[in-house]
Amino acid sequence: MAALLDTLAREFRVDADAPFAPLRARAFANARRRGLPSPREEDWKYTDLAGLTLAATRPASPSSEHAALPLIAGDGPRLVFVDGRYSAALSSPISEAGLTVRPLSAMLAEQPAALASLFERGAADDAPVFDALNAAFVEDGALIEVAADAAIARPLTVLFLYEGAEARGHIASVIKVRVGARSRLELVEVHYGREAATNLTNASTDIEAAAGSELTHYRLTAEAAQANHIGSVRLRAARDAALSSYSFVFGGRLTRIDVRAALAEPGARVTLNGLFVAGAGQHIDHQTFIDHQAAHTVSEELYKGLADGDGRGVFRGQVLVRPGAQKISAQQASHNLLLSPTAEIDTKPELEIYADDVVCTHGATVGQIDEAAVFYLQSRGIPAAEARALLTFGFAQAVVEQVQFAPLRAWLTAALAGRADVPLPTPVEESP
Amino acid sequence: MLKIENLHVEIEGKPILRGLDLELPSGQVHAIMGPNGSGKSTLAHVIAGKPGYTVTRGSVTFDGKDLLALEPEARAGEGVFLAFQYPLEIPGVNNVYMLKAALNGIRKYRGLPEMDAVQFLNLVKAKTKIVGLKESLLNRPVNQGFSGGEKKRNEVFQMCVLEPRLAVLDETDSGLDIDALRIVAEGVNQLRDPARSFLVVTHYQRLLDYIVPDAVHVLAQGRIVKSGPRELALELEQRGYDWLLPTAVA
Repeated sequence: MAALLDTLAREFRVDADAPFAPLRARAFANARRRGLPSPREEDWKYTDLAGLTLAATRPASPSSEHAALPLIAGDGPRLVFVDGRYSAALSSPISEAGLTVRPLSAMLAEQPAALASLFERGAADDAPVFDALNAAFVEDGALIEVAADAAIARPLTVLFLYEGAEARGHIASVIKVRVGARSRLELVEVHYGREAATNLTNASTDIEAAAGSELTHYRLTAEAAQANHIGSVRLRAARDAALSSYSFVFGGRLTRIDVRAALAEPGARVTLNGLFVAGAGQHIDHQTFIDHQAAHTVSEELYKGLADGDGRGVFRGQVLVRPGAQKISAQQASHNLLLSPTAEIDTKPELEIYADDVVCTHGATVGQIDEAAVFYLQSRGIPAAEARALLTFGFAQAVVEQVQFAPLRAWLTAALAGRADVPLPTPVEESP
Repeated sequence: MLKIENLHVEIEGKPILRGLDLELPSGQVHAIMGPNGSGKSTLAHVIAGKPGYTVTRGSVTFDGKDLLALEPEARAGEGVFLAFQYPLEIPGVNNVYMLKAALNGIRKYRGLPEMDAVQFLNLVKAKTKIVGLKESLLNRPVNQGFSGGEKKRNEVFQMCVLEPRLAVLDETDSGLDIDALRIVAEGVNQLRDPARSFLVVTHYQRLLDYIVPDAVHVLAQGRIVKSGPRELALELEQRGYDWLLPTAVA
């Protein structure tokens, strides 16, 4: 288990004059002292990091600026990072009124003071290990601000590309978003790895939605087969804010994503949805924590999981209703489908309720493809393999159909269809 | 067209069909009636190829082809259709989407090009009118949230779109009120054609007032114990089945 931290220790250099050098050093020292979490810890019960090693350290020079953009980048405003570094060439100009976007690297160089809280948090003694490592190593990311009363019409994409063999070592990044009062933003966060990449992504996303604002956050992890991904998403919804965060995980070897959502003031609404597909050799763990801090708050959560081959999925969904958080509603569902006898999914709802006038529901299922439904489709003339693909696709639809960002919806549909190696019928347009 | 000879079928070692013989010529409608547990649904399932049944003896041929050797989708490709007694719900897959996959699956089996979206939609719309299926149900997930009557209507609607040569209706009348029954029957009657046959499995003769059969067969204890003209159904309605059953050995 020491392997990862030892490799990082060899890599860790901090220039004494660089901003936040002492905080970075402290964060790293904390991480080393505590070591990686073990399966003895409740949070890590199903995910063993013992095999997590870094094949090589990260490249000293920034990668190519000529990476090809995947279709999922869309044609709207976007920030692109290649192997963790901001690429001006691949990013597109952002001219939306009320939207300010800056690369973290530029802020570190020009106005580091504005980033103090980020490093202070990572250097805190109780910071989770990967948060500490993120603070110790992070060099780039996106800082996003939406002014008050601004509705940003086009979705903003933040795309992290991990470019093949060049992408190796620990690549830390940060997205920090502040949505002003009564504003609106759609944010698409994509981690997209290309074949031969062996990176360990350590990505932290922090979103604050001010009073009356509306934010939708789509997060797609499509890492390369031998890459690992640690993601952290923190959300805070103020009075009457509506915040939705989706996590889609398709690629990667080991993926662990923590989503923590605070419904901090009355009227806040949070939706956490997710869809993961753990194929052969993949391990995907989601841990979500929904914190009803205030009365009159509403949360909804739907996670769907698929596992095939010897793929392994984990979902743990904690919901906390704090004392005094009356008249809240919390609905949680985790539905999972095993596509092979050697696949495994562990799902665990955990509700902790300290108020008495609340509506909380939860449901968790792990099942298999309904063979009676396969026969039904076959009897209509649909070959068995296609019938299974259709049922798998249908299972995932409840989450996919909610995606408003068309390039992502198309990507997800294709990825789900591609899994079974069977083309799905083209959707038929609704009749006018 | 459909020829069943000395068919023996078991489920988990338990014999259900025990030497069933049946011949259904092209263009005819035959009804299969019989008491509960006589093997009516088993017969329908075995023709369509549902897994879980073991054929121990006998044969089922369709235009001389051995149906039992074919996968269910290949049987559909040959022109066999089963209207389910309990149609399944398919979450997340809408009706039109499924039908398009089905129709193109069958066309592919027959070496025909796929139908394009416009042709397909026109076809589907024309067919909804035949069975009085609400168009709003087309873009809903297959059978999800449908009433019992809507599910049965959807079966007949799918049959109208897929235009099988042999349609097996497994208790399509169960759970239908009289108006729904009439609409479903009208859908079937519109499809009657010299090149198309129907095997109508039913418990009650009521359906046969609307779908008039050329012959009625009584299935009891796993074999056809009596065949006759449509009047046989009326006689069964009055006398029940007991008079046809071999006397039980005490």
